[in-house]
Amino acid sequence: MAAALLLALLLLPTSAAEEVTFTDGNASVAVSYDPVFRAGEAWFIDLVVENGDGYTVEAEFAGAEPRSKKLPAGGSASFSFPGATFHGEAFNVPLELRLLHGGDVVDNVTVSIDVSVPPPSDLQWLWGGMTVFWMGIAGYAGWLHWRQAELRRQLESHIAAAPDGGQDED
Amino acid sequence: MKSQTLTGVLGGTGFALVLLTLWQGLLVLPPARFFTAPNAQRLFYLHVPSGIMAYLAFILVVAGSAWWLWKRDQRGDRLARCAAELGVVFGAMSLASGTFWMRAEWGPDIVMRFFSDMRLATTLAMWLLLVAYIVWRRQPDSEAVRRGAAIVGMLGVISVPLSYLSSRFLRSDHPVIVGTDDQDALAPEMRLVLYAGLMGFLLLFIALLRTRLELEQMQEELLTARLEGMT
Repeated sequence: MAAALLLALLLLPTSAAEEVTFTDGNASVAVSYDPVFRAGEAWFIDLVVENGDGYTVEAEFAGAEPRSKKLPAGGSASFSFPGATFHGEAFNVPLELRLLHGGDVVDNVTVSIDVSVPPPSDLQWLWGGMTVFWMGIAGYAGWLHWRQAELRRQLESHIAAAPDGGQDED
Repeated sequence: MKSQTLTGVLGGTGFALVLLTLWQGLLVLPPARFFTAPNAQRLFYLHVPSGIMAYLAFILVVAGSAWWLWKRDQRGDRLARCAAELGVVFGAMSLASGTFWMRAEWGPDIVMRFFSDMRLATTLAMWLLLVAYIVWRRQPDSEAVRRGAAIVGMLGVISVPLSYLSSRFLRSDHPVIVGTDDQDALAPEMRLVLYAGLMGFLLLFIALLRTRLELEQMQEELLTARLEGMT
């Protein structure tokens, strides 16, 4: 039971894709995207078209160059934003999605996404080096302290065990 | 007791300076430019000072060995013995932190680097000489053992400058930071933090050396007391 639960948890998607659908007469265009933009990785928008011809989907983050894709009459298509679009973490970044036909906007919607910055992979080496380093110096200082206490105890017990109790004869 | 207080003050101040260096190096200063692993590069604030302390330890081993060979003074032998132990500890920390940094910066081919990069090869050889010194001293103490150890210790005359200068004159990818003419290689604020770290490590080194020398003295006192008890 526990194993099945663990497996189910492991198989859960980390972030489910979100979807919005544009309609214009008989035509429909489903736009799906990952609500988390990982800085440094290309971010894709997937499109599925039904009964559409001559449509274009345009996506624009505020202050950034818009990207667009001319759609086929049916089937799927996709386009992407480069990973360098964002550098820092940000939440609820507005993204305007527009459906155009013949250059005119026929439908539009604004959605929000979060920008995540994955930790650089060299952090593990930094912490690995730090751990070994501090364990080394702490281990040595600890050994010195222990040895010092041990020698002091031995010296004191030796003096106490001496026949004159450690007193000088003069 | 006065000596212990001084050791405590030196050690405490050194530790505080090292913590200050860590705080600045890890959290305040920006990552260094021109490195492919900018986070692992921060190991540099510990790696460089511990490496320099390993050099210092070996210089003390050379000085103590020369002193003993010349004057047969036990204090020279004691200094060399204690400094060698500190050299092994600081050298191990420098080699370990350098290996982690190297793995992040240069990739997984770690073992071959120790054979092909002259700075790495000569520093490892220097550290192994210190290990050899310690292992040699594990034998029952005698004049011959001390003489042999002093001769091994004197090899530092060659190994320390060879390791230090190897990245300047031999085949090596190891960056040159300290004592280079290219002062732009390191931003002024990073250099300042590095020097604070160096000072912290120096104080820690002195405190540990004083403690180790005191330990050696106690060991000799105990041995003398036991011998007197037997007679």
